Amino acid sequence: MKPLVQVHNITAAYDNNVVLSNVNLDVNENDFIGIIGPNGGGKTTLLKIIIELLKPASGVIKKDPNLKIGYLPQVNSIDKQFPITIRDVILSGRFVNDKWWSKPSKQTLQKVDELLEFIGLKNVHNMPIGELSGGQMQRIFLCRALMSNPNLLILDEPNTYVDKTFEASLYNLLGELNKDMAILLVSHDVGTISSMVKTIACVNGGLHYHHSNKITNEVLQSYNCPIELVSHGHVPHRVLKHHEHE
Amino acid sequence: MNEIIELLSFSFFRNALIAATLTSLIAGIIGSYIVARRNVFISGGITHASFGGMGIAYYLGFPPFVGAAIFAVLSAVGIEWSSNKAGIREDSSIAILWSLGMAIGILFVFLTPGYTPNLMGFLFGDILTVQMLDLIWLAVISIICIALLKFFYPTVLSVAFNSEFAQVSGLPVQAIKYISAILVAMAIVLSIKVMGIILVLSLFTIPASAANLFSKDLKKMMINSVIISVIGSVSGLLIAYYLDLPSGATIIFTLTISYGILRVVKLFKY
Repeated sequence: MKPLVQVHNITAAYDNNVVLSNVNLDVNENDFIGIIGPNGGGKTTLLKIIIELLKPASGVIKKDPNLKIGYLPQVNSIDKQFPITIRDVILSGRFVNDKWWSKPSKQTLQKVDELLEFIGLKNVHNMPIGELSGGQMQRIFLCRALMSNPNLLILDEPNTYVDKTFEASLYNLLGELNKDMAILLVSHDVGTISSMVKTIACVNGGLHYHHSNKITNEVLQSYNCPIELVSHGHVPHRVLKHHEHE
Repeated sequence: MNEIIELLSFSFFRNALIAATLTSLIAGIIGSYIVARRNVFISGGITHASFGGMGIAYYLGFPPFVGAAIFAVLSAVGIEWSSNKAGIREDSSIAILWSLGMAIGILFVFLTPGYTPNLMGFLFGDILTVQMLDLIWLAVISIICIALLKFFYPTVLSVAFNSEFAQVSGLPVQAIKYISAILVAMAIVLSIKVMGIILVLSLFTIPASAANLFSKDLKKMMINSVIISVIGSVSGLLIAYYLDLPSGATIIFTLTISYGILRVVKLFKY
């Protein structure tokens, strides 16, 4: 398996406040890694280092020369009232491949149609994004991330503001996409993530990698924090790690 | 009608009309960009900071608009830089520049010996004294705005909408942000002649907000905002002339009334 991204001994800090220390992670072709961890544990920081929005305090990141990243940012980092049409949102994903001064080609415009069909939204090209529901908006941002035909898809909390029905269909889409590309998914919702991903990385100051998607006792212990597990029953319940004397 | 034709035979009035139209064109385009990015407060900071440059220019005896332009561009670039690099909260740096600029302006106007001509004109606008050079500058900035959007609209739109994503995609986000900050500053300074420091902000916000009621696409918003702004300014100018009122303030009234009308239209239409 070819490594796409190799994170080696990364340490990250904001104003001397260390958020991540000695983090190692390999992302290989066809991986589907779920990154979980408590809020403030450094999940988003790790993502931002991988996509080069942040510089690590120390450590190295190696990237495959053919690496092409499709990025879906946290939805609350985006102004939903911004005057922009759905077509233009999706088209803005083309600049990974296109020169910054270029106009969209015919194939690119066709790709927008294909992507909209893939996510099951029709006749919405000229609709402003402000008129979409949370789930629809996430799908549009997924299209934007896919616009450049990436080989690594990075998603930051894609299940925010999304109802459970849509969440299921989102994970189906991701399962399909995983045949063609590696996926790195950040989520605080451990329950849903574990059913989809192939492997899990727990980020809480450091990083613990688990070569499966089972949330075992070991996973919970390294997670070192109460986590929400949403079950298929009626009551969402909280699972804490066992006390040592039990 | 005859009266208007007669008015147009005066070069000062022709100049005023051209200035109002070009200023509205610039304010419609740049204003939509500002309103869409929720940067109205930044424009207020730049406007008031420019008064500092004007005061220093008075004191040293060079053209006030040169001083204003230098201060406006420096503060626009400074706000962009400080929020990116220095980690200063943007609203704080704007507020500091806003009042510091006004303070410097007041101090230097106070220190300037004798009478300071046209000071009121700079504060409240003086459209009837527009010179040929002002018109040339307005035309140059109009052409630059239109040309940049003609060729680079998709890029500008992507960066304005989601700059973090644009940066990950490899767009030259910093360069685009600084160039647009400079353009915003120049547009504001050139509009001061028509509207005055105190009132210029509204020319950049009212038409854009009115256009935003109906257009949820930046390009359409810009076009509609230009139309609203040109109609509002020209009719405001005519009313001001006939009733012998200050033009800047009258223009704001016509713009606000058109905003109100559009608001009501929207209420009934949807």
